[in-house]
Amino acid sequence: MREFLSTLKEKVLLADGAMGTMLTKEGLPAGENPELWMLNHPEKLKKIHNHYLKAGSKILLTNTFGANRLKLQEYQASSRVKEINLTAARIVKEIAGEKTFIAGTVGPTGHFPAPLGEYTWAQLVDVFREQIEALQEGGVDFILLETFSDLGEARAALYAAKNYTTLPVACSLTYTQGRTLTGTPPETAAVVLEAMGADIIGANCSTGARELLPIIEAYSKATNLPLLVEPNAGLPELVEGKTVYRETPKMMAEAVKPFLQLGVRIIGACCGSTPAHIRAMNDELQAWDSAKDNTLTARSKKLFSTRLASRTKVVSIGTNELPRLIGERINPTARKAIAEAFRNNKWDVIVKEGYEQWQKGAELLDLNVGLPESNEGDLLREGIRQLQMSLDVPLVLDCTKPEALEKGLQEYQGKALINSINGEEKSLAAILPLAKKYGAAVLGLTLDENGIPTKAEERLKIAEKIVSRALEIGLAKEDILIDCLVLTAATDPTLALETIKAIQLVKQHLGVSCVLGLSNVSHGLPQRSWLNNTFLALALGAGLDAAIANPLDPRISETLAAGALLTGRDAGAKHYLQVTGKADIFATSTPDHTQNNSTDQTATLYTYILQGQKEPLICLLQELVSTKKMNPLSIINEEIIPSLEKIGELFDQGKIFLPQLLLSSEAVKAAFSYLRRQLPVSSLKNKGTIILGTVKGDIHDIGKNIVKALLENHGYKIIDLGKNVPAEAFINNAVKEKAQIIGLSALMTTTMVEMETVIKEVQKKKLAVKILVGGAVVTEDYARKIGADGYGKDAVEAIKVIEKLLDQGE
Amino acid sequence: MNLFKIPLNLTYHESLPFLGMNKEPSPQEKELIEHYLIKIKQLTQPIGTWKTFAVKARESARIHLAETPLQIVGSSTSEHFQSCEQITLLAATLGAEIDQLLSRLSSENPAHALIADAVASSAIEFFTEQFDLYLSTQIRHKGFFPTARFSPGYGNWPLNWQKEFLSSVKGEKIGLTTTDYFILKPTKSITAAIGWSKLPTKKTRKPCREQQTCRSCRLATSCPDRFVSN
Repeated sequence: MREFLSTLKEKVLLADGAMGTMLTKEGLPAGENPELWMLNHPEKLKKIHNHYLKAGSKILLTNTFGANRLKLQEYQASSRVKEINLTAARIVKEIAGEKTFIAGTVGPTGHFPAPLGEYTWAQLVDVFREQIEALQEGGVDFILLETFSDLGEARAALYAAKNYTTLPVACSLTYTQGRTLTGTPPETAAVVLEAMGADIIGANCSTGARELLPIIEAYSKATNLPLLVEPNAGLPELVEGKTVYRETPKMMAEAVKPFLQLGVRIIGACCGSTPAHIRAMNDELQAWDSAKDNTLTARSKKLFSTRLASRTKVVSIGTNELPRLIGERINPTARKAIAEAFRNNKWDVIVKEGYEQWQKGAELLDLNVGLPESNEGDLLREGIRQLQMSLDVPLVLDCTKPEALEKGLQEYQGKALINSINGEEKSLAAILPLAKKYGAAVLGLTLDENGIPTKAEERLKIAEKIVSRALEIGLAKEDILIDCLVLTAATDPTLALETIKAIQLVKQHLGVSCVLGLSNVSHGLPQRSWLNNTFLALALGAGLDAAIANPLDPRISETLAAGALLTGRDAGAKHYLQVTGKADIFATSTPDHTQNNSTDQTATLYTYILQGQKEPLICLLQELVSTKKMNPLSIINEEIIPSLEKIGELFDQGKIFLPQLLLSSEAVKAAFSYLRRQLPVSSLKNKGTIILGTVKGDIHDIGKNIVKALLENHGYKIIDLGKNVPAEAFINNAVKEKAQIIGLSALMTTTMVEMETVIKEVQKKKLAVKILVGGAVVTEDYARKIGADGYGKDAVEAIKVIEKLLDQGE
Repeated sequence: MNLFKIPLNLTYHESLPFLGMNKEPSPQEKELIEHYLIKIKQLTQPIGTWKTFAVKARESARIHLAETPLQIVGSSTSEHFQSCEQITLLAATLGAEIDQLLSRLSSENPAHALIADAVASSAIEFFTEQFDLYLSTQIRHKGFFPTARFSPGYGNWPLNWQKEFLSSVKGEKIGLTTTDYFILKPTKSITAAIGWSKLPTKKTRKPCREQQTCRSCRLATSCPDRFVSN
């Protein structure tokens, strides 16, 4: 058997096209299982494979996409996994001949690993193992995992293929609008799958070649692995009673070259494609001369920093990156509340702790479950489950017990950092293989059987040992990180500088990323933040790449940002300006309103209102009233009301939207409440009393509340009856409050009929009150039909209508 | 019982249409939208359930399903499912915690309530879209063409069928009920039907097109299939 991967280095291989589409043409009835049908129609399968072979395919795929226990269970055939996979492989083999490779196709089970689905990761691995072992026995050249829509499930299949066979594995996901179904973007998938040992990474299915091009482009930036692509022939359409796919063979052929230029080494086609598509693609492929395509020579091997990932996001660590902050607060040893949460399974506390650290700038989270007398493996697994579903921050698994760590690594769907290993034989032998197997990076502590050496040079020696052992086992250099360890300055203050020196030596001699558990330096001393931050600054100067620290100390982020700038890691001070709040192009300048220019003052006031900036607005008003002795009433009439009108116009013109309108109305409300306190009660005129409410049966009150907020600012007295209000409540309150207007709101077709009930009651009682209606489903026609006096299509219009109704009334 | 659970992966961009916004928000708006997006992601564990029924009988404006009293009613509705042999009914919800948040905000701060409400609507819509994608893929793998999803209340399928709909999929198992006015509770919930068609269907076309009043739709300003008529 020729070596598949080495052939792939020499040339691009053309795979085949759709199986399902061809099976339907050959008579597979809708709803029948394609794999079971194959057992009775081997000759039809051979015919299809042969068509693709003749069209130029150099890789033929087995008809085993759904040949796993869980899928076959739906057809009461879960016991036939081996038979089906062996048969499918045999059928292709009879056609393939010497020059064609056979891909053992493995599709998803339709179940995501728990907690999303009902099967655990280990159960899914077992399902895939059964199928993949059968495919290997059947003699396929490589395993092709395709159309996976969840990174967790793909990881389980990849694990099974890498650990239970010796075959190369291609892993291909399917994306919609740039993400898998469960939210993974291609860059993250590439990082995680490469770390797990995938030999080829790909994308297939989706709606067509155009949608896959940006996916492949993202892959090509994120990995040096060969890439695979199999687009659909567009979406199916019905033309003259026949099913046709939108993309013709010519269109598919045109997509070949752009893919090749991005580094694709296996190209085929998915749903809807036929041998005609493959033939056209083959012609294009044959015509393409890679030597003459100068876009390809630019694709030299890329060097990457340390890359860690959650299931949806990649964070890079290294000399060319910003120094990163790893949140240290999920640690039961240091914090009672966390210990308590672990003990009582209060996972919401843990997740909240994660969120809080993330909001304060943590880009990675350390998860330590070292609770005495507990099952650390179970805690780690559950902690990961909870955190990775809620947050997209990559996790650092702070655990040194191999069995516990393995449970955690199985559960984690991204690329974790293991914290930690050290120079002890026991540690290296137990944990390095786990890192390799589960695609994790490792953090090595510079200590061994003899403890932490005092001298920096000796720490370097341990680091050297860790790095070389990790490289031996097959970890990439960028996946090895070193923590040079700091002891508390309380015992011996001279030791801190040894750590700094060790960082310099490790960076210089080994060139790996350095991380530091920072807080230990201040252990047992007062004003820990002073020491932590000063030491962090020194370490950054020595080349530190990431610190495990407390994000809730605001100085840490400041030191990191300043340190990044001063150590040349922050080109153009972009990050620094952003952190300091100066880079925001939207940031509003705060004009100096102490000047005596009334136009400026009006403009500033208008800006504050428009942007809904409550505090500066009130400050400005205070100044106008107390310092400049302006009359509050004239501020309302000459400044605020015109501003409100202008904003209403902007809204009408579609230049601002409802949220902004409301935010500005909030600011105005605060302004009014301040100004009114400065006025004698009698000087404020009530423009009218309005009863507002959402009609009976309806529980939506957002719209009604918007109208209320705006009307209040326009000087109306509002009696808000809330939601689900019966007709008699509207009537009674209107009478009691001597209201001029009742405003009715309804969102649903099933409840808007209640508006009519209210109107009928008002007419029956011959009340002088006018009725205004509005709400999502209500139309002007409907309003007229039920006898309403007015209709407002939105809040701004409602105000105009009310003004008109009151004018008529006068 | 079939359950569908995936994390909410939407970004603030997906919420903008629900706020009637067709351009980038101001920094202040963006901050609030993101604030409530995080809040909602923290509060909710969206969940969906589904069940597939065979089409039992077909009248001109009515489809009867096997093993459930639910009927799919209305001329436009039955046209939508014309070539279908089976129909998958799905129900999805963000859960009751969101309603508590919204009702608290609604009395405290209308601007925040508006934004949180729109973000929650976009979240359940996004989740249902993913759910639809998942079910549609399975339908395709069985050799059928999935139709666009169609909900009670669309076209002329009255909302009154909501109760039968929920009992068909055992909506109560995911905490979903309906009020006497056929409003789903929790409010941020969706029910819909996807047909298994023997013939290709126009999946991209909004099922509500020209049938529901676009004026009443939250997505009216951004929907490419908007039907403009007054």
